[in-house]
Amino acid sequence: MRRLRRRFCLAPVLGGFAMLAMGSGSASADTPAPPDTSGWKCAQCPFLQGSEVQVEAGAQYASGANASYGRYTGLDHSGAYVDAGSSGQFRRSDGTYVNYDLASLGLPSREGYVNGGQEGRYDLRLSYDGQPTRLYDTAVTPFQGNGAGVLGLPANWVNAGSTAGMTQLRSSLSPLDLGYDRSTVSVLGKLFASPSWTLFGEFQRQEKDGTDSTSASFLTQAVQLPQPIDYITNSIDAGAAWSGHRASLRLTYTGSWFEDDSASLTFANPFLPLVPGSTQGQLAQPPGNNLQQLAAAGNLQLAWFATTLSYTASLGRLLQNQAFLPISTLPGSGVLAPGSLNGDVHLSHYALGLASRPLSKLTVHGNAAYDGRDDETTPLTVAYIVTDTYAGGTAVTPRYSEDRVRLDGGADYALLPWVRLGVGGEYQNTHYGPGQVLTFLQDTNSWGRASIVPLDSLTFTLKGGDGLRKTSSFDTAALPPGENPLIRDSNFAPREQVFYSLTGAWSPSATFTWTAEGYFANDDYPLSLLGLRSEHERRISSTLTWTPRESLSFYLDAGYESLYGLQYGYVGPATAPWQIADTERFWNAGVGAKWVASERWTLSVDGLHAPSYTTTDSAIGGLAQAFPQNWSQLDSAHFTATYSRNAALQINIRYSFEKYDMNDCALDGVTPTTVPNLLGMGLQPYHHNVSLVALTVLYKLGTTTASVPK
Amino acid sequence: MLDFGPKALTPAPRQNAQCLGCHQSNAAHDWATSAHAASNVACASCHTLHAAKDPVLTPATQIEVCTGCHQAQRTDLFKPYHHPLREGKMACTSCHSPHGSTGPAQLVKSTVNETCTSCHAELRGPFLWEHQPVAENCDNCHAPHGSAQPALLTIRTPFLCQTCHEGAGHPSIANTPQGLPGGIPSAYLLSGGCINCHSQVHGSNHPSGRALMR
Repeated sequence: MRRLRRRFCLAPVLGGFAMLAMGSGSASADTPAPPDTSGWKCAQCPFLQGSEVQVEAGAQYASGANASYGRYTGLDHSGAYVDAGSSGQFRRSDGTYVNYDLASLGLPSREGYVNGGQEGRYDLRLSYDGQPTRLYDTAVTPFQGNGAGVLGLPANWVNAGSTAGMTQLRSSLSPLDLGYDRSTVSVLGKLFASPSWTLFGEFQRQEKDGTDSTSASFLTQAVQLPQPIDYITNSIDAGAAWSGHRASLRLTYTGSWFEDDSASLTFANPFLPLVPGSTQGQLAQPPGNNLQQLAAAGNLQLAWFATTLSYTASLGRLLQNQAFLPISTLPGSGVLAPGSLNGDVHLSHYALGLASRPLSKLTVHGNAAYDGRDDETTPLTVAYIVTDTYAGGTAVTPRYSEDRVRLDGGADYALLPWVRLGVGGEYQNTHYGPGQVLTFLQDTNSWGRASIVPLDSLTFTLKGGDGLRKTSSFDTAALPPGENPLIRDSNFAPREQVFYSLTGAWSPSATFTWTAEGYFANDDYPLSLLGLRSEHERRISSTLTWTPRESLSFYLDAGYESLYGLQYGYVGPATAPWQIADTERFWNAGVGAKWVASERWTLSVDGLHAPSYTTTDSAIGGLAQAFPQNWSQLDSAHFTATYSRNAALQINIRYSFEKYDMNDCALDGVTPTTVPNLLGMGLQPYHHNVSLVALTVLYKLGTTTASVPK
Repeated sequence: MLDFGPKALTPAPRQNAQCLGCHQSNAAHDWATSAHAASNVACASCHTLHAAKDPVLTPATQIEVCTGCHQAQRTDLFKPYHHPLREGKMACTSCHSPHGSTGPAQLVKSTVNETCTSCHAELRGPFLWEHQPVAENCDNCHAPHGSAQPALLTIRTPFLCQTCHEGAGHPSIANTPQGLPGGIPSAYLLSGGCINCHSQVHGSNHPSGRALMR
């Protein structure tokens, strides 16, 4: 099992420090030039030879595990699990090698790879990755036939106008585990045809298999349904890469084919049909599609001012032509002509980037990119049936196209040895195709930054900026029928932004580092009378590491984030506007230590506390009403002990405790019958309280030796 | 004499020039114009040289390296809903290219949607009935680093949907605590909210999927 614990390592923190401190250091840098590697000899770096294998085997026992705990690992029930893995390498003096690594073999999250080849000639890699996703183990449903594409109800089912009247519901409910397994197999090959040319190709097959939940309605009556997941995506990446002394080029073909084993999901109507014949409904499942792309990318290093020019161009097509389902399950419903969409979306991406150092104290960089999404699918006129219940009229299928140009850039100047200034910005212009509420949208933001190094061990960086989103006039005629013309879609609304951040790093000695970051941002939508009006984000985080001696280290980190959103709504004349204010607050605090107690014993301990709170306040005409607070709390502790019997034998002992609780007012206590017009599945918020003990033995076989090549 | 590492005296550009002498051609061809290069990040700030396993190349340990600087994303990892990063089944580099890219936020693909649908290919479309914000940008509704809402939504339904839909009838109604159990339980608010009926929110290929209900 590989859960994130704070492995005690200075690198991340030092990396952060470096990001700031190096900025000052580079102020006096000479213009860097690529080294001439033609004369380099492998005189210092030894080549490994021989073979080495590590085998780790043991068991772990989880008490209290469920789908919530094993969501992504597969440790989803109490009991014992095999804990096994292995890795190894084999190397010969002629540069041939084989490496492999297998992990979590006793779990659905097992993964591994084998790769081999010869240095400088070729490389082959075969890999497998299992990724379970356990969604809910609290679901219940009266529907039968999950997986076959047709969901029926028990023979004695009693239809009713509301869930309370479904007299056979309770006796018909069966538990159902929701979740799926994603497994990915890939084969990658590289041929180093010459020092300049590399040919590469990768085939990947990803299968996703299991059951998710979906839902559907018959006009005003809804049902939650088990949805079979049986997806396969095959993809290929192949091409060639060339690298010269001052330029590079990479040509790639990408193909991806998605297949869904189920074209539809048909389900019985558990309610009393609202119209004769409305006894079942049918949902479309995701249609098969394929994406083909050709791309060229590379860079060019120019002699002037250490300038690098990078470029990318790609063209692609996204196609979908799966046969349409019948317009409705109602008797007498026809078939839409033509019988499939012939969907055709053209994707294009062109980009140029430039980085230069015109002065020893000045660096500049910029990017210009164009993205086009051109939906050339022919719009169809459809006479549709609403929820397999009644004729809804005729509508034309909308197609959405857009062209986006993005420019960004910045400059960085070393004003003084201890002060570095930077400015930058981004401009984005999006043009929308016909039939949309906007014809264009412009997003602009700019920022300034100052990095100050008052002491060698202390660095501060202050950054601030603002942004402005402007749009064309809002074409209310393009809104869906009945839509309030005062609404401004949140992604189309004019917006004003302001943000500030302050980061600091203090490293008074080689053994102590402290970093901190604060961030403040406000987004306001001044022209939105309805919809999203404002959003605020505040966050602060800090990490402290201390390594009093080589064998002992500590860390302490903490973070806080607050998100706030305010939106307005309006039902109609003679009603007061309503508003929703949503505030989310997140904390995380971690502490840990690692102690190499002796040559044989290494101990580590980590602890984590991460609560979150969401408050939602509604108000209508000034009358405030607060929703119950949603919250979650994660507490965990991990302890590991490693005993090295000798160079070959190691015993690992691990104990983990994790407790997670959650309250969600949209799910808490909501049973299949809670809502009169919603036959739900009774999904409940996540809870778990798990203790896990693991004992493994690791044994090393063989050895690799280092030799300096002659 | 050059020295390497996060605390080295040698400036990052000079350190990096050594590394890029060999590693320019593949993933690093966008390095010079990347945000990391602009921030003077040294290769050795992230990569551990001469280690049997470079931590930044292993998903389970990579996020320790990345969140050392990107601390807001570390907080995101512990939110109630998140991608499987802290479980070691995804890495930051599953979506982002730290060596630079011409996509937004240094994504591995040219656009947000191309990046997301490289794993979620079932949402790629094109559908008979498209949903504009979906076709435009997954980030319009989802917070990929972590969220307090199911499905990584930025705001809970129905309120998220009501940031764009205020049409006459049920899209415009004020959802209040009266819709919770104990009051008059509302299908607009409980379980999936709007999704209880409009389940095909990413697009529908059903001829009668105009309102994304089939």
